[in-house]
Amino acid sequence: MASAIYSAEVPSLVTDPGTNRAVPTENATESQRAPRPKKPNYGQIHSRPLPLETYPLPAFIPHNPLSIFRIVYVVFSQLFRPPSSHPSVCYKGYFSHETQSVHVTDCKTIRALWEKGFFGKGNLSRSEPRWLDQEMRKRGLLAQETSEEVTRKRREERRRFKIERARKEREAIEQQLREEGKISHPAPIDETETLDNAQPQEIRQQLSNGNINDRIEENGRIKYGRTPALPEKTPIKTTQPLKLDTRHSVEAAGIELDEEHLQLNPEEVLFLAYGLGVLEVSDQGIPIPTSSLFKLFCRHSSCQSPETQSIQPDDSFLLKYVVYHHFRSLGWVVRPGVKFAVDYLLYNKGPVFSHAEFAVMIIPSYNHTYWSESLERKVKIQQKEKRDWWWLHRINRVQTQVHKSLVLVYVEIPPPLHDDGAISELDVGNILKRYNVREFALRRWVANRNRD
Amino acid sequence: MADISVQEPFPISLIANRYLLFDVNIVTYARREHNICGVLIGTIPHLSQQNIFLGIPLELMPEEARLLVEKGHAYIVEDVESHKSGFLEMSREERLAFLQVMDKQGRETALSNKKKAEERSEKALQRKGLAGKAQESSPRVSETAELNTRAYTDADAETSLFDLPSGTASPIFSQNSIALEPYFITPTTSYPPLPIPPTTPTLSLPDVPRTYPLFAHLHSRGYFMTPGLRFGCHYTVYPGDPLRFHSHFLATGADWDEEFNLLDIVGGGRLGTGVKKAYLIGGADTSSKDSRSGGYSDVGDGVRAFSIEWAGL
Amino acid sequence: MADKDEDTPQLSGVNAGDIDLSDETQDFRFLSNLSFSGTDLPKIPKRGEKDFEPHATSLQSSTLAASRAAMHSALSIPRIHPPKTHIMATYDPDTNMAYVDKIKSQHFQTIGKFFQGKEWLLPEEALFMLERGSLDVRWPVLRTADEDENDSNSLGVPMSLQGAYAAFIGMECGVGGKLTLEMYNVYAGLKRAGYVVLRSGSWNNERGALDFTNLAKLDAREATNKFWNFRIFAEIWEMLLTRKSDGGAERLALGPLITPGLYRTYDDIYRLLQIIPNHNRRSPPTFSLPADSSNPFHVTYHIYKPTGKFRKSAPGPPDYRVAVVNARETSVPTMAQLSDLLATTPYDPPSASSQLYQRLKHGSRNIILAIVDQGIPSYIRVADASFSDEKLYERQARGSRGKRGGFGRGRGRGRGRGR
Repeated sequence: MASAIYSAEVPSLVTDPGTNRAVPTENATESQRAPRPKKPNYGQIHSRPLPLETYPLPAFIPHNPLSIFRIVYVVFSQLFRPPSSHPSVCYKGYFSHETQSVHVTDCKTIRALWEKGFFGKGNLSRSEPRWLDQEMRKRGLLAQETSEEVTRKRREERRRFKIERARKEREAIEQQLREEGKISHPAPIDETETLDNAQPQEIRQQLSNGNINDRIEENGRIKYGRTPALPEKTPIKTTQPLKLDTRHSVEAAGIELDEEHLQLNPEEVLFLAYGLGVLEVSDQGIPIPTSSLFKLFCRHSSCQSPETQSIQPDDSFLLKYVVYHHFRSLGWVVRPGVKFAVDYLLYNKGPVFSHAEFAVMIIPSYNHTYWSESLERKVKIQQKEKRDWWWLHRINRVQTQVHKSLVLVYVEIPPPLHDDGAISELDVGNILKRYNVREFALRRWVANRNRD
Repeated sequence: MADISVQEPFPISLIANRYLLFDVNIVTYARREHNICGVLIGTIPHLSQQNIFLGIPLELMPEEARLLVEKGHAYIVEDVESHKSGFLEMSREERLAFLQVMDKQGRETALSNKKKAEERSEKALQRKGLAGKAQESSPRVSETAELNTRAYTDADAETSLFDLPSGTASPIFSQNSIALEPYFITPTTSYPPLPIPPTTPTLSLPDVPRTYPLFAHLHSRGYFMTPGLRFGCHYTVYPGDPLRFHSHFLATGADWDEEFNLLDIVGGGRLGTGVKKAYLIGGADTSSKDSRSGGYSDVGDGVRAFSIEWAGL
Repeated sequence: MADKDEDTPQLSGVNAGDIDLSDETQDFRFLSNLSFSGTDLPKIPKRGEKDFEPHATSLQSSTLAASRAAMHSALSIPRIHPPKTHIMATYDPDTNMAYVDKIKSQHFQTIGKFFQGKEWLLPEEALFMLERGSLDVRWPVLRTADEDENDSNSLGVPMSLQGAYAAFIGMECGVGGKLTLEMYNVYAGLKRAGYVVLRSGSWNNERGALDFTNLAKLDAREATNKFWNFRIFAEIWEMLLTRKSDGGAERLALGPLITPGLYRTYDDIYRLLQIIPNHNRRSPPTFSLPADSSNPFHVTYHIYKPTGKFRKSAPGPPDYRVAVVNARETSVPTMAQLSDLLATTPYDPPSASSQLYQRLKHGSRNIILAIVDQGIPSYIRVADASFSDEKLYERQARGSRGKRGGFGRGRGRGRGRGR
């Protein structure tokens, strides 16, 4: 639905987080000063927490007899033609061996998965697939900025601010040196400080945004991240509910394909397929059944995983999935937490509504007697479950800096089902049920503040 | 003030596996001359209600102690033993002699405090336009007691240790009429009465963790280091004395072949964000063929360090 | 699109309350200004201006010299006892404690234990009193046969600060006690912050007893809730009207857990998704590990806030419990260790009126870990957070949905509007 026009957040010129209003740009297509576009109604867009439909009964109002009729009507009509919770056609995704994730290319599916539960990530965007909008904006066809552009501006501002501040400091020091009658050449250290700061920024700038877009200009198409086996991207359908002028703009811009696809990580895929049953994954055109999907992800979970068939109970994908499923089933929106050096971030309603309150870090726990039966096993688990205090303080401090609470989630690892350590792959649910999850919330405690 | 000088090598107390310094001159000297700052863990008298400024003793990291010993600036003393034998088995003569010394010091202190108090009240009276010696209504306040009363602002009953003597009239003491009661003193170090012990030859070099090569490497380049647990690193690295400088790096040491989670790099990078610090990870390159004997503190010591900054902002 | 986490510049916009000035070395010049001039009460100095890096200015080097001189002066403040306020204690090597004959009752309100005519101080209590300049500890006098019991000659030699550390900390292992320098660091730090610090009963055992407090109350409350819960009616109503597919075992094995059908609410769907077992925080605590003296995790100290109501004879339940560990000798506790440690703390749930996030962060049991790294303590509060008890989906009314069918929802517990 609303992939196109909305207002992004524009920062003011100081480094505060921005106010939420868009400013009309100097765009040529706007002949008059357009009224400020409203912020999109996120509450409405993201009204479904999962990509499933529910059909609540109409409210029962005791003093209004009509409400009873309404209820009865709905019940009976649903009796004869029951509406389904699931989409009529299963969502489709394609497993990519290169990226070891599942790609979704159909526009409607992408929107559905993003809007109803915040699944996936646009491979050319930071989270929500925004590449198309960014492109159009680049070509001057879209008035509002995407959040990537907003960020780029902000970074540019900050970089200039930092250089300016460093220059002022340097001048102050030079002034001091001159007053003390020392030589008037500025100390060499100060020069390199600003230069060093400047150069890496330049490079980073290019890498993050500039290069990719430049390449588009040249080729019109990026080979980035695509394998030949994947089907063609769906062209931008004009039946999409875009606003009229945007639709024309897209064609006018000469953008034939939305180069971006939605990338689902393994936990999301398994949850959508096994948990909700709304996703079907194919590999080179052949659909993969859920149990094989499970095995596939386990096998790919670590880079050194051998081609053996057996799945270890402490397989890192398994652990991640157990925790993912656990929090999703309690109603949380679970997103990857790499940017904050943790496993997951927990959102109350979703990243568009508020920042994540909790940052989840998974720790395996080998409490079962099986794991201490032999010395060899003891040594192995010691290595896997040991965490040092500096590590803990590091991630805790990072979370404190961004106003999040760290939650350590210990996952109790069951002994293997079979003697050879393998996991039977046929019963996903019962495998998952053997684990046990326990959460601990951490917080730094300061002696003085808590006195009263 | 003239620069304090200390004879090298100086002793480091080993108590319950920890390395401590009790002599304030050594503390200042080690800081100034050898860039070793340690951590002050003691309570400063009369300032015992805050945790920002702490006093003697100075706790040295084993890395710091080892570095000083390796370079010949210091030696380790097994302090528990020397105190046991020195004090629990002290002869009567030694004891009485020392008590006499302390008594003398105590009287001197009492005298000087009284003088200062008299001077102060003299000044106060002069300011008020009155001349003459201290009157009977002025309370006998010693400088120390003044400090004490100022130090305690809390309602805590326990802390109002030194009550201001009541302002009731006290007879004037002329300087020589009545012998002053001596003060009692708790000395800081045990030398005297104990002699400064020689090093115990059987004591081995302090045991250090695997991060020692990085520590020595950074120290040899002029950096000061303090333990960095609260910041999530092994050492916080300063370009100069932490009294006057902000830290530049948050350093974590690792073995050359040690595996670590890539997520940790992200965490480290994020750590320095916005606080003008960089995350540093380093260790000794043990993959090279030449064997390294002895310390890591020379230049060309095979230690590599990498700094990581978060590019997200 | 907005992504709240991406757009906010993640600078350290820390609250004032979060700043711990003891994180960084502060310039001693601020201290000396306060101590020796005027009658100002010492206040915590604001963060001074530090330099970023050395440059060759004389200004910088003279500032540094002044700073160091200030530190030296502060560190040289002597521990003097005027006769009026002098308290003397004697060291007892057999127990590694100190005893006081003449008690000035004010000072011993929160420390010391009266035993056999004398007030006995634990090693950390004696050391701290000596260190802050309030106590004069004497080495015991060696009695030989030919000495007479003349008082003036039996005065012990005063213990220096160094001697006190050597004795109270150094000789502690000799008497089987377990006071380490780390514990003392924490003890002194908390005392300086104003708390009353007592050893927990279990600090020198391997672990304390299982703590069952507050659990009995909980069961009673649960029972009443269930009875008055109108939810039951709503559940029955919905059960009649919802159609779901069967095939439970197969669903579980191969999925999907949610088969296509008619679901009235998302709550139903979430409930079907809950298959991952979770620790039950309301069950009575048990120990997972056998008693082991090498387990470093046990409650070391009980902390009381300085409200002035503390009575040594009847301390009451502590405000906080602290477990002290050494950073270099231990690692982050395993689940079993943490679980056992929390099992010795009481069940302490959040108040019914608190919000969702506060409830989760407060947890059902909690402990403060004091991790000491070479003299620097770091405190982390760990709480058993019951995400399963605070089901997010139950707390949210989806705006566009409108009211649910049925008789509405009644809940025994208070329903905070989660944010």
